[in-house]
Amino acid sequence: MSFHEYLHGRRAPSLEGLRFSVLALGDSSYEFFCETGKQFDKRLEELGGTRLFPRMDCDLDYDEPASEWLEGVISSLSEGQVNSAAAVPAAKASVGDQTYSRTNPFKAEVLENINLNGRGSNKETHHLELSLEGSGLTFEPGDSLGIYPKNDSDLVDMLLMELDWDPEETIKVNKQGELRQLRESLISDFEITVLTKSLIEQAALLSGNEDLKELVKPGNEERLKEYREGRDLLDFVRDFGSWGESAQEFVSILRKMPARLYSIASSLSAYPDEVHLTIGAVRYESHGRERKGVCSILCADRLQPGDLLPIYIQHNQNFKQPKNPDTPIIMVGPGTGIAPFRSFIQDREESEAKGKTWLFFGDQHFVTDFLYQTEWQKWLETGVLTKMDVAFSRDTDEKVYVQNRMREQSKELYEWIQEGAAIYICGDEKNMAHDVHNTLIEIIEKEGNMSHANAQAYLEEMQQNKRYQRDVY
Amino acid sequence: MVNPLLKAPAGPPSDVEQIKERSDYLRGTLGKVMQDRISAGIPDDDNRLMKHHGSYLQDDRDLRNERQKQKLEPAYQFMLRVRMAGGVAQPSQWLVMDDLAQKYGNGTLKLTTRQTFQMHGILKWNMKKPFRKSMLPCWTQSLHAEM
Repeated sequence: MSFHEYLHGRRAPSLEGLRFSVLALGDSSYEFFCETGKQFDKRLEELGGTRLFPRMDCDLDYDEPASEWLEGVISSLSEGQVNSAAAVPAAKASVGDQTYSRTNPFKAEVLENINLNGRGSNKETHHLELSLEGSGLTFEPGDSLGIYPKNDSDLVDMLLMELDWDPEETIKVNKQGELRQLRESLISDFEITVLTKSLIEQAALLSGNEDLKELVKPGNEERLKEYREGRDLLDFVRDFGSWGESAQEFVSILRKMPARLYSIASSLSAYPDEVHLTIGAVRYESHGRERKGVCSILCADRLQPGDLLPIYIQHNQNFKQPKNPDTPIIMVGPGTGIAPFRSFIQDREESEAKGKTWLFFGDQHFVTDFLYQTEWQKWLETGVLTKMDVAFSRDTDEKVYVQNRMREQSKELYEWIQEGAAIYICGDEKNMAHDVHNTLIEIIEKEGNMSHANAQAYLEEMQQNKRYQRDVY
Repeated sequence: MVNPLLKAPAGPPSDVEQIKERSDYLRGTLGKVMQDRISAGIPDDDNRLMKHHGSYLQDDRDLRNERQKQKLEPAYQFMLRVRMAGGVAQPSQWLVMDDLAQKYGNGTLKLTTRQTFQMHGILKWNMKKPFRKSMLPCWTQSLHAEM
C-alpha cells in the first residue's frame, strides 16, 4: 500500500536507468482486471524507467503466462551475456522441487467431516480433517490450504438442459489435451458459478443474440456490472441462450475451475500428516434461486470420510507467529476466522511457548455457535491460552461483537501492546476487519493518550514491524 | 426421652457437609463462576451449593453425545425453584412466574409436590433477573397473605 502511494505521489524519484517489467496477477471476476499492475507499469515508465519486457496480465490460472513472462524477462536481461543458458534452468529447478503443488494438487483423503454448529443453529460450519500422508507437503501455522472443488452436478444438469450439446460428447479440457465427457468436464474442470466481464464479452462475440451484443456495447458498463451480480452461467444461458458452433467452442471461453483457499486450522506438530479446516457453508438466495458456495457446499453436503480432495499448500509469510515464543499474542477471530488461531495454539502447546495469549471470538449464539468450545476450555485450563473473551451477537437485545469486548478491556489490551504483543485479525473482510481495526485505533488513542492521527501511525508502524497481521476474506 | 428413630445415624458427616463448611456461608465460588462466559456450566461443588439457593445446573441429555462430537460442552441450563409459603400462590404471583418462565426459561412452568414453582432452561448469564424477580413477589407477598 505505502509503496504504491509513494510511487504515485509527488515525492516519487526519477527512475532514469531503472529497467523494469511488471507481472500483474489478477482475477477477471473483478471489475478492474489487473488494475494495480497496469498502474505500476504506467507509472514506472512515466518516472523514466525502461521497460525490459511487456507487462503480462494474468488471471487466476497464472502458471503459463507467468513462466512466459519470466523467460522473456530473463532473456531480455541476459541479452549480450554468456550466462543466459545457465539462468533459465535455475528458474525451473526451484519449480520442480515439490512433486505436489498448486499445478499438481495432491489428492488428500478425508478423515473426518463434522458440523461444528449445535442443533438449532442458523449456521453450518464444517470441521474437515484431511490426510497428508505420502504427499511430502508441509506447512506452518498461518498458512492456507487450496482446494480444487467440483461443481454441484444438479446445477450442471440444469445447465445442460438449456444447451443442445450432448452431455456425453468428448471434449478437450485443457492445453495438455486431456479429454473428458462434457457433463463431467462441466462438473470438474470449469467455473460455472461466476460471470466475469471477459466471459460475457467473449460469449457476445460467438453468439447471435442481439440483446447480448447490446449489453456489452460501450456505454453499458453499469448495466453489465449490475447484470453480472448474483448471477451464474445458468442464468446467463437462460437469458441470452447458448453460443458457439460446438460444445468445444462453448467451453472454450469458460474459466478453469479456480481453487478456494482456507486458513489451516491445525498444526503439524500436534497432528502430523494431517491438515484441518474450518469451512462455513455458504447458502443464499439470488434472483429467485437458491445459490450454493461451490467448495463450502461440496464439503457440507457431499464429502464423506474416504473421499479424496485435490489440495495444495499456500504459504503465507504475512500471517506468522512472532519468532520469539515469549512475545505475547492477541488474536481476533470471529466465526471461521478462528481457524488459524487453533493452529497457533496447538503449535504453542507442542512447543511449550511461554508467551501469553489472548483470544477474542464472536458469533451469533453461545449455545450453538461456540466453535471448538471444549478445546478452548481445555487450553484455558492448562494455560496455553491465557485469556479468552467471547461475544454472541444474537443472545441479547443489543448486539455485542468482539470489538465491544476489546473496548471493555482497553486498558489491559493497551498494556499488552506496550509489552510488545503482536496482534492478529482473521475472518470477515467486509465489516469485521474494519470495525476491529478502528477499535484498535480508538484504544491506542484513549489509553495511549494520543491524537487519532498518531494512533493511526502507531498501528501502521506495528504493521511495518510485522506486529499487526491480517488474514481477511 | 428422645425417640431413637429421630437420632442421627452414627459416622462422619457426608462430603457435602464439608463443601458447605468450606463455602463461606454457601457462597462458594459462585460469584466468580457465574460471571465466566466461556462455559454455561459451573463446577460440581458450586452446583451442590446452588441447591441451597433454589437452583441447580442441568443439561439436555438428548444432545450430550452429539455435542461432544461437535466439540461443544453439554447444553447447560439452570433450573429455578421457588417455594410458596404454605403452598399458597396469589394470582399475581403466578403471573410473575409465568412471565419469567417465558422470558428467561424455556417456556414451561412446573408445580411440584413440595409446594414449589419450577422453571427450566435458564442460561447462566440470564439467571440474575428471574432470581431476583421471583424472590420479591413470592416471599413478601406470601407473608402478607399469611397475615
